[in-house]
Amino acid sequence: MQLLRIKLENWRGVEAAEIRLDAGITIVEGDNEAGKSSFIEALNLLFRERDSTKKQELKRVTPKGIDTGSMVEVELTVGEYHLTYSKTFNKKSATTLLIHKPQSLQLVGTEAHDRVLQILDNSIDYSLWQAIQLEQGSEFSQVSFKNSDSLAQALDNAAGGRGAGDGESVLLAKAQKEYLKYFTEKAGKETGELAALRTRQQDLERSDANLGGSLAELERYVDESAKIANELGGISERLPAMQLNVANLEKQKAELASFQQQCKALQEAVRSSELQCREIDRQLSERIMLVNESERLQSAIVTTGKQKAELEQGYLKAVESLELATKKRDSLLKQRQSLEQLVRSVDVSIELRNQKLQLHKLEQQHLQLVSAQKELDDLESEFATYRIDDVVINRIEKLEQQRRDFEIKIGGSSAGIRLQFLKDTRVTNNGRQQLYKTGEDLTADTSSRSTLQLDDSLRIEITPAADNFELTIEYQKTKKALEELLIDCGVKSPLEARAAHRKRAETIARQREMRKNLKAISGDVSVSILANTIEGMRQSVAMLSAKAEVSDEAANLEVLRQARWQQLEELDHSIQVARDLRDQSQQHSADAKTRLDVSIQGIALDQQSLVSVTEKIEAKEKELSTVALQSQKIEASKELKTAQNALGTVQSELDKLNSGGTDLLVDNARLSLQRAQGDLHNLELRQADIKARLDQMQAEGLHEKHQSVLAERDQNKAQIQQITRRARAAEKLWKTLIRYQREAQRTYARPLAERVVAMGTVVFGDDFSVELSESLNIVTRTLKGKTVPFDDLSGGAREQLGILLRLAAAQLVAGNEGMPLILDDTLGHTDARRLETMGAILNSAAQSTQIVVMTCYPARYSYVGNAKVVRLQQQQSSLFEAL
Amino acid sequence: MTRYFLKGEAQARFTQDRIDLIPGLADLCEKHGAGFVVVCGDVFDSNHVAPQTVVRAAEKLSRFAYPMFILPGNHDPLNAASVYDTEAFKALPDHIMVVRDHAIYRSDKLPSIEIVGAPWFNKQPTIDLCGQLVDSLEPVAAGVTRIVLAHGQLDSLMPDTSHPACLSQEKITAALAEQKLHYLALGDRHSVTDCHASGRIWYSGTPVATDFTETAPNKVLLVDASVGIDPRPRVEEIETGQWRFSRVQKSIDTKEDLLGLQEQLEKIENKERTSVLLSLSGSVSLSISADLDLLVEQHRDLFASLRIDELRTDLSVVPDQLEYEEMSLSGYARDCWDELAEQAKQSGGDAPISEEAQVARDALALMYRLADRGL
Repeated sequence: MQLLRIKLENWRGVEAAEIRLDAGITIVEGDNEAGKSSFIEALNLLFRERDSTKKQELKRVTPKGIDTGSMVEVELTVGEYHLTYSKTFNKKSATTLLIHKPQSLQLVGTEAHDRVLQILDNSIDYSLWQAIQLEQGSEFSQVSFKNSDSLAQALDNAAGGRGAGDGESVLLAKAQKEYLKYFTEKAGKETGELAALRTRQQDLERSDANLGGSLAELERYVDESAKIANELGGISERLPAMQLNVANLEKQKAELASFQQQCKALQEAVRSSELQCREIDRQLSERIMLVNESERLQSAIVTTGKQKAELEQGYLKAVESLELATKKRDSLLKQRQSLEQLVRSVDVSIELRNQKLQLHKLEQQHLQLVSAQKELDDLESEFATYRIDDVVINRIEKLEQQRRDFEIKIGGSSAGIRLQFLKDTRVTNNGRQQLYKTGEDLTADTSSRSTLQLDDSLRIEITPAADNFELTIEYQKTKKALEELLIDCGVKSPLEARAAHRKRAETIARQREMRKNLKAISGDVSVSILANTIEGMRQSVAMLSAKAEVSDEAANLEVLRQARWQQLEELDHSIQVARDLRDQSQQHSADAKTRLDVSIQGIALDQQSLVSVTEKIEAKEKELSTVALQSQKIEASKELKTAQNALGTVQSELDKLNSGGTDLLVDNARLSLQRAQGDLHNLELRQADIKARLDQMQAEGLHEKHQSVLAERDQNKAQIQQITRRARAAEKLWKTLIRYQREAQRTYARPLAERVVAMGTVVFGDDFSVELSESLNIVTRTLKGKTVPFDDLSGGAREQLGILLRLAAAQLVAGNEGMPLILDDTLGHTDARRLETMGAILNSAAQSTQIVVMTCYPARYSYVGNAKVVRLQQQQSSLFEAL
Repeated sequence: MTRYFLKGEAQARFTQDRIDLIPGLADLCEKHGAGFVVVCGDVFDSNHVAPQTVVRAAEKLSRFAYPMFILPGNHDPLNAASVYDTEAFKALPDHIMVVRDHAIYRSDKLPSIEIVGAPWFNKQPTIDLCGQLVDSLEPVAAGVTRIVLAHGQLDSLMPDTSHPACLSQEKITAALAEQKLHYLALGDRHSVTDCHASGRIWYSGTPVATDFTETAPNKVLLVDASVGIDPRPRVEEIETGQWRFSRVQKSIDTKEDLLGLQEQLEKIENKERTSVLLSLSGSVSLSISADLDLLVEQHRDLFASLRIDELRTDLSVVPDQLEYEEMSLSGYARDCWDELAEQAKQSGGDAPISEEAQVARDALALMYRLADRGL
């Protein structure tokens, strides 16, 4: 199909306009509201709507206030046809078809409309044509190729005929329907009958568990009932025997009580006799003990008297030994005192000798110290005469230097006078007289007024030149200051001053050396302290000399002292031995005295006890004689024997009756009987309770309910297996089919993608590629290895890809009839470089596809090489041909 | 008794037939001149059956004119929940007797006959109840015929005889030799069984078939063990129940085989009381498989139940070339078919078909069906 011409009248803002279109690319330029979009709108409505339509969309296209309707007319070729087709909408509506080829024919109204649709249907894919148009404002949107049979056919052919036919689509739909009977569409979860059966199965499993549990409980009751019945039988059998046992044991217990009473009386009699016998035995024992005690005391008194005499002898010997030891100790102590005196006298002599030596040493030191001190004092006196210290000498040196400087300066501007003495001559220089030896020189400057008088023979008056006056004054000042300083220092010249300064320094060094020697001699001790020390020591030596019994000049004083000390140590040892011996004797004496005292006291106590015992024996005998007491003992023993025999007889009977066991047996038998009766009662109650429960549960018919549930569960399970098998088959078929269908779609979309890539490489670069979806939309763009989803791309890229996709689709179908591609105001988001490449693409595509571009920015399409340009002007009423 | 494979009215019919057996027995007694009936256990599936089941059975029994001795068995033991202690059973006439202990029944109404039984008191006895009974018996008086009723499995028929409740055949045969009994009527085994060469120990089987595993069900025994008819008592098997539980095994590879199966099914009589379990083998095409499904579907409601025994069925459904061509597949549908057909082949030799291959075969069959045998 190729559009040749489009004409509008009274269409929105366009009164009348016509554009003629080229077979290749036609660029229709025009400002806003020039009517570019109106051409596209009119073209669509021309083919789509009948002239009689009342749609609001149509009503809006006719301007208000005019009598005629809105007219659109198009001239085109399609298939074998060349025709002109026009419609007028809203007012004076009309449809006219004028077929020029292959045979001339004119049709109007509905007939014309239907005929055009028939021609289009037979020749082009109207849906695709609608899809590839790019209207203003939709530049970012994807293309919908959903209903495009021709594109599908073209792609199918390009893909090698692997696309699906109607039959496959129907099968796919049926397979999906079958799948959806069992599974949800999105999550693939079981649904429908299968899900219901599984739910029912879970319910049945729960019911099975519940009923099984109830039946198990019922069986437990049955088992418990049987057990209780068994226990009840056993208890009922045991009960009479237990009752008889209790009666027998109670009778036995009464007999036992009688014997126990007899036994108790006899036990009392035995106990009484035993007490009486024990009392008599006690009294007899007491008397025997008193007699024995009396005899023991008498014997002890005799024995202790003998021991006392022996102790007295021992004590006297001990006292004697003590006295001897004491004397020995005292004698040794006296010897020690004498020896100590001798030692002390030797020590005094040694001390005296040492102090004398020390005194001599101090006196020598004192003499040295005094001498050194005197020398130091002399030096200090000498030092006091030297007044030129470092400061003063520096001052002198400085003044002398200044004076010389002045002399040089003055000398440079005035004549000098040099007098050389040929003999000793007295010269008065400015009033001062001085003797100059033979050969000495006197230099006088002429910078100041001065007078030299040689003896009385010659007077030389020097008057300086007027130019050196101020210099001379300064020189005089300096000179005077130097002379005054020298006078103050007691020297006549700087040379002498320097000699005095050197001597002062030497004196200081000598003083330092002298003080160092003095310190070495005295050791920080002053002469006065040393003198005092010497005086103290002299007095001490005098005292020691007075006390000394041995001459301090003896050569063997230390040997003597050592011998005396050795004697003293030996004596100390003897003294210690004598002291120990005395202490022992003293202890022996004290011990002997103690033993003697104890013996004397023991004898006294024994005698006192003997008296007391004798009195007691006499009192007892007086009360009851021992013979009578022994007779009472014989009688009491007889009574005890009789009672014990009787008790033995009764006890033997009691033992036979097992007195302790009988009580326990009776109590136990009673308790056992009570317990058995209680058990019987409880078991009967429990049995009745179980019976009631069983009756209640029996009425429920649990077995059949359970069997019914089990049967349904098994039926349900079988049905689930059957339906699961069907479901898995449906799932398998659906998933396999859809997988192949998607694969086929991908194969099918490949030719379109390849065309997009072929063109896109020019625009974006060599490494450009796109992925198309099953619905033939661009999913992603890959550039320089980076893949970006379509929706995330920039506006410009999306716009360019949208045009490329439309061009690719148009080219694919161009081999058949082909169809024009209309682009309304696109490439508004494209930069200059890509405008150039897009221009090249459009130029290339126009060789096989008619392209109509509507734009208000003609510069965007200046890169399109071979384009026909048509300019529209606002409110134009005449045709503008190509420039 | 509930059978899971019997649905709805088939189960109701089965239950009712079991109750209706009681008047049927009375008719047989009359027809063959029987003096009394012994039932050796498991009259009821459980002591916990619904009260209406007990009442309906008791109602039929109350009309039963012949003496009947009912021995409690392992399913209906004489325990605290015994069905025989319900009011319905207590109200039965005196000639309907439940054997409750080892007491020997003697009556003028049955001269020269002694009946004694070993009832079960719980579901899991720990002793040989029959052996215990015969040990306690004295030899029968001259001219008296003693019938012993017992329930359980004879050790001579059991692979494992270690269970303490097994019935000792040795004791029984010794008791027979000692003239302590003349005939032992046994219950528990659902197949008629002559257990001893003397012909005096029999399992009577079940009067109404209940399962596919039973041998010679639907029978009662007519026994004359009277003294003086030595050496063997007269024992006659009499048909009673109409229910059949049939296994049908068939190899199907061709449409002719399928027709053979159809004929086989159609020949079965009394279909409403027949439960059929099909065990099929062979290899069939999709169309034959679809026809088989149709055949089973069409006959399902005719029978009490008609099922394919999946465990014993090994039927390969493999599409053949004709079917493939018939479908005229193209495009991705053809690719899908090829893949499924390849997966469906994945089972080697006699090995059972893999699950994946089975699913693929089912998917192919479904595809064949959905394509209406041609696209």
